[in-house]
Amino acid sequence: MNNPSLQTLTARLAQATAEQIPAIAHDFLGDGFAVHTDPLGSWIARRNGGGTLMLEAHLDEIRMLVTDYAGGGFLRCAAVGRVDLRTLRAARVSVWGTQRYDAVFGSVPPHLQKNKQEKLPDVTEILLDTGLSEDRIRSCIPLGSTVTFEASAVMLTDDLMTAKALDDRAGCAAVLWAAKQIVQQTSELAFTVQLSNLEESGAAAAACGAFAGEIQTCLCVDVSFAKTAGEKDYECGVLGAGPMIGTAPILSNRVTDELLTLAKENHIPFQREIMASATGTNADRIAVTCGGIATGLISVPLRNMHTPVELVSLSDLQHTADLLTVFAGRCV
Amino acid sequence: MLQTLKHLCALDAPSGYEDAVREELVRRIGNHAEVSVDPLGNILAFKKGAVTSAKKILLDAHMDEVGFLITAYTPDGFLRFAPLGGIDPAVVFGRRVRVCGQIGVIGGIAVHHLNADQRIRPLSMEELLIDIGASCAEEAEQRVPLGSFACFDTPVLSYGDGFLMGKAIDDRAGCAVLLDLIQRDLPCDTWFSFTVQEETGLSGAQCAAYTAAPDIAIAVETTTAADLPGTPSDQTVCELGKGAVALFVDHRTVYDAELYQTVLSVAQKNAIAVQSKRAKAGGNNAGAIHTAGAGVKTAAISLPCRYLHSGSVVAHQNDLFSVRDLVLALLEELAVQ
Repeated sequence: MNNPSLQTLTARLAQATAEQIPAIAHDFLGDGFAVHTDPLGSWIARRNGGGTLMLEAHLDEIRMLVTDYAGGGFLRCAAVGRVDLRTLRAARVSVWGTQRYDAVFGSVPPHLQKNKQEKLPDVTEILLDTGLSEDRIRSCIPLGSTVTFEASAVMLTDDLMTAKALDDRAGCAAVLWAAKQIVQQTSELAFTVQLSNLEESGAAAAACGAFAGEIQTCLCVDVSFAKTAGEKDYECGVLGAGPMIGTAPILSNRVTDELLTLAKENHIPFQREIMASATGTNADRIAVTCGGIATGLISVPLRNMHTPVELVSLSDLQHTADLLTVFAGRCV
Repeated sequence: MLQTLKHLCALDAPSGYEDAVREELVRRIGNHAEVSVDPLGNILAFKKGAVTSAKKILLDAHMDEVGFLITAYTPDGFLRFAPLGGIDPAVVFGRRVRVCGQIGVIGGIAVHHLNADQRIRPLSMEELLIDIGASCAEEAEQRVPLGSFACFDTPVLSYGDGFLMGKAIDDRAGCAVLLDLIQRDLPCDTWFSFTVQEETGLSGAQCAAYTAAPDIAIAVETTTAADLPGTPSDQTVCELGKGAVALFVDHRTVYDAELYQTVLSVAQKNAIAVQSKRAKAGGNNAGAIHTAGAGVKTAAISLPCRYLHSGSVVAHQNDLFSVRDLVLALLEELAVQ
């Protein structure tokens, strides 16, 4: 599997900030969509009026916010979303102040560790080292500035990409790739693409965004756990074994069954993900928006979720996009 | 010198696998000195100076960095590793490494699958694995043979107001300083050793110092700074931006008192920023050098660094120049002694 264009798109999306995603998405899809950004930062692109089908992924990522100046060139931060505390020591980040600034979270070198640490410090307890002089830091980095992990996208193999924020830029890539395929195959099809903001902090924007339009069916694309060392088989899918089609009370069985049937008919590899309660994705909110939206969930298997070294398979992305495309084709 | 340092840091050369740095240094030393490589892989270089001083002087910096050695494979294709040198597992999780020209990542169980206690439990090195995307042990071994080394995949960059961050500044900073000096006209005959395996027990320096058999040695090193806000001033050890660090004691060496005083007075006389290391912590090649042969009067002049032995060591560029200036001024002083 080597699709250089999909690789480029995914890398661009993963390396960007949430604010940069709409421009990348627009650039990729080209004209032919009516696009706008809603009040909470979700990006919505409508094809031929928008129709009743929506393809959705979230554009935000795990991040931190600058909450205070700690003296010298140091900052204090708070987490937005579930930051993995194990990743923070000596982690490189970008601070999005008046421009992008490199910075690093502090660590205690082995030479100075007298007692073994019993507990990892919280985000708010680790100082962020910007190297800026004390008289410049306040003007360069306003309070509330976003802090994101710094990790360029690189390939481990022809198929496996590691980067920050593949949760859920991988989903964004699959949705955008599918949208382009759909247009190529059925130019007249009406559908909507939504890249939602604020999923990591509680799915606020997904619900609001979905009000806009006459959507009756939604396919959400998020990431889910791919088995890595130490994980339990029954809690995880397998990296590279295809998209994970979700089953959960909140999800539409009709949509899910159709996804399963279409995957089989079209020889698209897939896995099942059975959840007895909430899915933990935007699907939970979108399904109950307005008078209700029949919602399906397709998850891209991903290792090391919420770390700077998230890992996905591009063939899983391609297969996810293919499944979205054949589903949309049925709506003609 | 900054560009040289960045170039040297980008090379992967953990303890026992210093080839890349050795080749680059030998190339850059060129005809500036008489060069030989000893059986352990140390570079020994002799440079003629303006005078032949009464005492034979050796400047030392180590070529190796902390890294990882691949020791085994899990059935599902992950790499087990052991650290080369002292590395805190806390700076390893969530990092990318380079191994055999490939990229590996060090991750693990998703935070979502951990309970509240597990989420705040520090990891041990034994539970960390490198993921190169291999599907089984056979594929992993074929792509990364047993005994391969890995290094942090973090570029060296300037950031903030005059700071640097990167892997391997410990001790490519010392190598960059020695390389800068070796390319100048020096006040006296000087021996240089670029040594192997400091991080795993000072082995290179022990033998290099035996061969060089100096009367006086200066270890040009990095040392640990804890100058973060909130750290009591009596525990910061040394501070970035406050100049070169002179050592009077660490865990391996009680430094020659007279030579230590000379370092301080030379700095003062030449208006070079200097500070003393204010803790008995760490150790460096001085520990092996001062007991080599019949014994060597040894000093250490260090670059203060935060987050040593991580992939993002932080230093201030002005301190790098202070270290270089101080070592040069010390040579001038020793030339006439």
